[in-house]
Amino acid sequence: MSLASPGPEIRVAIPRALHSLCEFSPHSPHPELTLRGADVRALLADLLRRYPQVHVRLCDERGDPRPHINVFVNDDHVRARAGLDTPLAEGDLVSLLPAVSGG
Amino acid sequence: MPSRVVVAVGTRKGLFVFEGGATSKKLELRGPFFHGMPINATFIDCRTKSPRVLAVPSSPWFGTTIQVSKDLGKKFKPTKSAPAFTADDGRTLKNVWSLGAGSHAKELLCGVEPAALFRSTDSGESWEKVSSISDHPHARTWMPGAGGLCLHTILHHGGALHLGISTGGHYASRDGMQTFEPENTGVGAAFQPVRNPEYGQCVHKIAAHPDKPERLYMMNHGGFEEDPTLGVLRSDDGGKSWTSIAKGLPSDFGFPIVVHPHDPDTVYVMPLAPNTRTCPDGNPAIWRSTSAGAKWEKLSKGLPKKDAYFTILRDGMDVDNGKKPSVWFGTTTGQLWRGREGGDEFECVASALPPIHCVKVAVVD
Repeated sequence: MSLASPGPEIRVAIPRALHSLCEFSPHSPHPELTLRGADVRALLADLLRRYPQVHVRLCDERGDPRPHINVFVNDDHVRARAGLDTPLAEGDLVSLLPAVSGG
Repeated sequence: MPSRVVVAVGTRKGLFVFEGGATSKKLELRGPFFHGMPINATFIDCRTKSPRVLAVPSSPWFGTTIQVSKDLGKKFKPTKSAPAFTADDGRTLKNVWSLGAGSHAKELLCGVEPAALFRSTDSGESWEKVSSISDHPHARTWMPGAGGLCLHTILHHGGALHLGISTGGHYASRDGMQTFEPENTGVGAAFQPVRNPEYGQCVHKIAAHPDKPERLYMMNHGGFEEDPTLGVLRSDDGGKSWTSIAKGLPSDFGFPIVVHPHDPDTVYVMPLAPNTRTCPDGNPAIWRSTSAGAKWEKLSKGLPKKDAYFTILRDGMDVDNGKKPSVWFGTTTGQLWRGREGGDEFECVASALPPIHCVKVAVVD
């Protein structure tokens, strides 16, 4: 984890239900946030600093993703890699997606 | 302007608000607000000049917000923050179960799961944990019931603040929330190794009338054949000790208990079959006592006579404060019922809402 270092620039996809909290341009074809972090944990810390109103909806009081929020780095769920310590590189896409519900 | 009745109905899939003339047959329905989100707590705050309707949507994905309407439930706006534990507390907020009035017009209290109490002194914009109960030495030993470990009842009464916790029991503060003590003498727990533990009871709801500061009513977890005196209780000493008032009821199991706004001796419950938590024999009825629980009468005029197997949850019943109050209740099958003249005759106000978690009603000018 490297909170002191700004880390690489990372694209972050946010659930559509929270887009109204992100001030995206209405003309943006792929609304994404651009955040920094050397790993997922640092990225979520950057989300807290810059978009606290989004962070509180996606993460609990301990800073962990809420139980029904899945975190992917590119195509991989972070649980298949190193969890919140999964390292990030310039150009990665981190997707914060609500888990599917229903049958 | 003639009096209006406002009913805030929290369901598994959002909030619905009904409004109309206090005695009107037809009510306007607004909503659903926060569609798809469970609403376990609503509060109609009549302490301010213009009543405010508050609701707490708890999204399984995106957490909890406190929403406030200043126009009787036409538009809602979130407050700046919702109750939350600090990162070093170790607990994370799972749900909000109760919203209630504090000691002044801007103070709100909020009961959450895992059982803890939060206070706001700025009408819900910011919140702080009330450590005297949330970090009480007992708190880490409370256990969850089937509904979760929740602080569900917040009641200012008789100069004390009374809390109901499932399963923690009844706690009261008599020093402005500086300290809380368990007050459960006579409150049984058939699911514990001893019948009368100091704390740890599965209290379902507590109610009282301001004109009788020494008296409180409690729905405790009953329904045990071998001991039918656990479930419906009354205290005549301000909550320090409790005795059964269940004699005459078909069951001492139920969730809500409410008191008539103009008569402290009149109290309402809905007994349920303990094993299924549904209407006994499929025959729903509210039961009313006008003698503080000494005698009970069945109120079922207008309700289904058979084949009705719903449940009323702990906050699913309320009585309005009109001149001739109505008893209102919502069912887990999505029906909202109104019993006019204190429950003498019921009519179905809405028949196909999502499962109803909570009903709060007020008559406003």
